[in-house]
Amino acid sequence: MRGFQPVDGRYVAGMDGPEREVLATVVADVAELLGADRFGAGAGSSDGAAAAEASHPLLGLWMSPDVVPAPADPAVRRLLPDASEDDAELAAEFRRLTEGDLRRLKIDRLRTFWRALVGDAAEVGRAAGRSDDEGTDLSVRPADAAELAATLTDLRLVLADRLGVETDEDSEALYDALDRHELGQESPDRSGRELLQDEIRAYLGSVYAALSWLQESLVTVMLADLP
Amino acid sequence: MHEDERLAEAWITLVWNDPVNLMSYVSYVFRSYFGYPAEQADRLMRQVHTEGRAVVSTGNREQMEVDVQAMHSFGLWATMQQGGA
Repeated sequence: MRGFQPVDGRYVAGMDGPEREVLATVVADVAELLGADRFGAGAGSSDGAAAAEASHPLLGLWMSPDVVPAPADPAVRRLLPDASEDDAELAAEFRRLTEGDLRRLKIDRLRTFWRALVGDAAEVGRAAGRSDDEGTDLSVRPADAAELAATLTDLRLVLADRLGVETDEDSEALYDALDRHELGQESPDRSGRELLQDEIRAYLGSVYAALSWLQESLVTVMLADLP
Repeated sequence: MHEDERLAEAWITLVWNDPVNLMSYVSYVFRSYFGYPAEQADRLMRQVHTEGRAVVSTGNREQMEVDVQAMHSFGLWATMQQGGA
């Protein structure tokens, strides 16, 4: 993977086919958590979980007429957080007015990124027509870069929740374990199921670190272009 | 209405620390969305990180609703409340 650099008025990163596939899967997973149909799946072909989420009563509504419960999944709740720390009525009212819009915005941004990753788009936010040499460039116009950076945050927030990162210390411990290639090897006596859990944890951790690095490179070039 | 009454009725937007968002990204959001100069944006970002939260904007309730929704769209956790933090 190659971080974002300014090239001919665009921000361009590099990633190979397998890296794109991994990211595209994570992007589609997070969109499903938010209630989207599986990206790339034709109509009617979504599995049970996706179908259940797709019928989410909030989708397609500009303003929900009734009380909207806060999401049960902590990762989704982090993407659609409470607007008040201690005023439940205010938080509920805010959620009723804004959650549908916020869900739709985040799903749309994820879809835009997904299309660029799977090669349906020339760059993040534009239609098909790519023509780079190796097919490994991931390009975004500066005008679309803030949306991509926000989507990278959304992806990292969900992965961090699944990795149990709740404090700054958790985050540091995660990066330390990744540096030592020890993530997912915390427990010495591991049986089959635990080994699988460890592998999943190591996998999610490596994706989280790659996304962090990618976002840092993108924000660095964005900051350099601010007036 | 007196100035102190207006202040007492003012609403604020708070941004809370989280272990995920990059310091550079938080600064970028404060600069690009609020139009704060780099120095002020960096100071607020560090305040969020070290004190757990910072007041990033002040105004009437409707204005704060717009700011909180914007922060949530950026992936920052923000809340609003009436009166000082």
